[in-house]
Amino acid sequence: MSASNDIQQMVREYILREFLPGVDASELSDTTPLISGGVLDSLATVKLVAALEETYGIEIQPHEASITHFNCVKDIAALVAAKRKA
Amino acid sequence: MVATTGARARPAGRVGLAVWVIGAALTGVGLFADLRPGVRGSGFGLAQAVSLVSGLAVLALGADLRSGGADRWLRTLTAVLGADRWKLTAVVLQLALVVFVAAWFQVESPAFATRVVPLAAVAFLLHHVLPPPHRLPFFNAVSLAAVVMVLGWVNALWLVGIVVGMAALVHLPASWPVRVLALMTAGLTLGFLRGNLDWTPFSPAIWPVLGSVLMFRLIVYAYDVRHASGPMPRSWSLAYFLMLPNVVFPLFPVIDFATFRRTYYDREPFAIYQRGLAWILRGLVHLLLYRAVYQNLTLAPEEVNSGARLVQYMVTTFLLYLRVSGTFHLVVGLLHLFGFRLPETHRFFYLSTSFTDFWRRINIYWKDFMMKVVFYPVYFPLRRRTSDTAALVLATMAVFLVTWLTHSYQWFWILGSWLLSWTDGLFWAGLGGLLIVNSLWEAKRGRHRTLPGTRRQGLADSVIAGFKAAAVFTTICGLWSMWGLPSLGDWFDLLSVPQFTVSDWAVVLGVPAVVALVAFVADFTGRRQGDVDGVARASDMAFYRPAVLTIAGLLVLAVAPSPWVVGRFGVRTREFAREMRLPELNMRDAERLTRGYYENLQGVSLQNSQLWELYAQRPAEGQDIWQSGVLQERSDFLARELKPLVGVFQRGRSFRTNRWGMRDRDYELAKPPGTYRVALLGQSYVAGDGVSDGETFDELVEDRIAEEDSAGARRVQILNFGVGSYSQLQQLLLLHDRVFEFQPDVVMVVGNPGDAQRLAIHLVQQVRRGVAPPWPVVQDVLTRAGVTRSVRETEALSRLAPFRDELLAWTLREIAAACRLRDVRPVWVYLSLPERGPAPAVIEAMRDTALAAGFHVLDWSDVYDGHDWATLRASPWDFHPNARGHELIAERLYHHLVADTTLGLLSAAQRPETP
Repeated sequence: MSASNDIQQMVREYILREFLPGVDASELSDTTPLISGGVLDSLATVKLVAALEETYGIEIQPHEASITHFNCVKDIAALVAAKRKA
Repeated sequence: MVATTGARARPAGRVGLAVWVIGAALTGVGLFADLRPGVRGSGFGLAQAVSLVSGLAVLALGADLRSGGADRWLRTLTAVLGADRWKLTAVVLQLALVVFVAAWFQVESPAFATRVVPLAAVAFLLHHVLPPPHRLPFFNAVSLAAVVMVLGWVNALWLVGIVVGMAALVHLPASWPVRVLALMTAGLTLGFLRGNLDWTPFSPAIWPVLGSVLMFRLIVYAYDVRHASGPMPRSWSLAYFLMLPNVVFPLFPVIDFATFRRTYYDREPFAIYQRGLAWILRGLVHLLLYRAVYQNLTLAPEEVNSGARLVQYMVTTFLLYLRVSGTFHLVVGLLHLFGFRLPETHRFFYLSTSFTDFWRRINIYWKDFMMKVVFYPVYFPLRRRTSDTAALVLATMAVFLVTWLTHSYQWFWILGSWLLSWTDGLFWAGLGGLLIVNSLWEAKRGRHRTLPGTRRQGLADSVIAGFKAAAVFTTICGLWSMWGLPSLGDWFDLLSVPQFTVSDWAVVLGVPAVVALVAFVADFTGRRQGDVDGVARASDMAFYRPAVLTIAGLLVLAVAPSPWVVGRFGVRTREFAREMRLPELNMRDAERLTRGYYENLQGVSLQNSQLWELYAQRPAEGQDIWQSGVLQERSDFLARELKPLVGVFQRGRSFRTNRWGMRDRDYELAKPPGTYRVALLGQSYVAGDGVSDGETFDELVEDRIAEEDSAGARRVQILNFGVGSYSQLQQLLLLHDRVFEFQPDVVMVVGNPGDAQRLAIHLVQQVRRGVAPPWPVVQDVLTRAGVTRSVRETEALSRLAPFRDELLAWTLREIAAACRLRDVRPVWVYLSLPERGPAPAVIEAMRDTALAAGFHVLDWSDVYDGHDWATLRASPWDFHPNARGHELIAERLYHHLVADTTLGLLSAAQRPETP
């Protein structure tokens, strides 16, 4: 399993545990819209950002907490992977 | 082979050239038609705009044909005529209905209803047919055409020039601090000009548009440019700042630049168009509901005298926000027609189940803007230094502080003055506090979320949602009712309702119950969540089902108010249908508009948006006539009067007074022999606010009679004692103080629907400044009502409300009796401004009161019939009759003086021969 897949897995599990308890894991795909879909509001986003920063030792900037990077699991994982690489 | 291709290319090139020439001709007609001899000013209307944008589309076709790019046109046209033809037909049908409904109901403004909407409809069709690479530049051309069409060439050039200049500063080849400094300097310069410059080379009408284009979007744009990773095409910048409907909406959603770009045609085009049309329908419904509430259900604070009326005041004040949600739906819906699949706004915001839910629903554009430029930039650094909770609280407080300040900033750009009131601050502080508590609760306990397109609520969840919605609605209604009042004390006065009967309690409990029920149904059926991401499935059913529903909704709006339908109902329904077609101020705001000429914007708040929009159109140059030094204060109950022998020139009109302090020509105190004198008593429109000297109806009549009676056998003098906003109590004083000295044969009191309220306002204002009314009867009423100097104005007016009619009737009786005692004929005339009048029954009641008081009664409520009111007003922001309006009134007065013998003002033998 690649590093990106690991991140995707972590993000998916975190979202299911923290924001969508009781939702079947199979319903949350890597491209499910999270911000525009109403799952990640500002509170949830900052909570997720904190978890990502803590888990991966990265720093996410305010302008990065946007729909461009946080609207689906795949985009979130891509941002984290890019930051880890940098 | 090469020869064959070349042979084909040559005819294609010739056809392309021919098409290009046709396009150039159409464009030329659009651009230069208004320059032809005989056309004055900006003649760039809808026809020119349509010709221009059509010409540009044909030009693009011609250019592509010449350069061998015909294939992409072929692909688009094949789709339009083939697979998409029924969808396109459905969209065009809906657009045609939207054009009709917007024009029929005169939605928002003539510029929007009869120019921008039809232009958007035509432009949509051309835009859709254009190959994708041409679409964005074409959208820019349509937006620019709309700006010129609405503002005229000169103003449009100024507007576009300033906007482009400001946007260019963002791209300066300098460091970001330098760019920010340049932007702030330019912004402050514009702000200084907005607030201080009485003269500008452009119409002041462009300030609100300029403000609405730049005040927030420039911040978003600079933020996104700062953090953009790729290049920023200029066509996107132009599209963002000058987007089509902005020119007619000073309150415009703060669309996020990144979202604007990201959502452009990111789904199947017809799914985007259909969503936009559904939202346009929703916007129209919101605006019509707003109109119904605004015209028929709103109350003034002083009219709240029972629990039921308190609920009515609170709920209707909150419902007035439908106008904002309606216009936002129209704006976002129209942008969908050009491929911008922007987020849904104001979805079921009246049914929010928490304060955070309310904040997320009501204006998602503002919420996203604040989150982007305030919440995250404050929260992220704070979280690294302090706890999550502290960061959350401080960042939320920052959001509401900035929201409060930017609210005033927005008001400044629209009206040119700052709005910094305690109630405004308390409203935002209250809402912010509730949101912080709610956010902390959610942060600790979590919030129930679902994936888009799924719903897991059970019956119990929906019941709870209903109760929560009722609680949130009630709380927000309470906050909202405070927002529009001048002070917190006024709000407490409002809440201290004297009467709370069983039926009042039924209303108090019934309204939240209805909200709870509706919220329960909306939640249980999944309507509250909606299509949150506009998942816009590509199946045909996903298009046709909403299309059919939208067509049905638009048909209802188009057919319901038709005479064929309305004629089957009673008079009240017909009157209601007629009112719904008039985008007029309600009577209370019209009265405020008239009073505002000396009260300097009092009573204009964010909640009477139609009123402040009119104020926003006022020219900056000079003050209005009543603020220009023509009045002098008096220490007695009369309070103020016109100064003698003053002359001013304001807003292109002359205003002078004679030696007796009348806005009139000079008269001797003693009545010349053989002269018939009429003394006119009334308010600003009687004094001729809105016309120049010599154009008032009394002078017109005098001149006409003098002209017709050249032998001077019998002279008529009409002495104008009108003063801006004089109540009838002041008129009674004036009568004794001055009028009778002039020995009038007739005293003509001009009344209108605002008389009772105006009387009450004057009475309260005098009591509050320590001047007692000089009549024991009036003093007794004040005692019975509990009105003393220490009672706040709103509360005093509320206490006096049950006595207003009694006071007016007494005053009229006093005037009539004083006249009869001196053998002067008292005449009462109903005459209002060219605006929406009261119900016939109200006028009838006023007539009865005057008749019972001893007046001869005349009803001139039909004096403006058959004319468009807009053509009879001094200006769009000033409803006083203009010169034409005064001519109509003069015609009526002349009729009663000369032709109508029943009045007996001139006997038949005495009156001059008329042709």
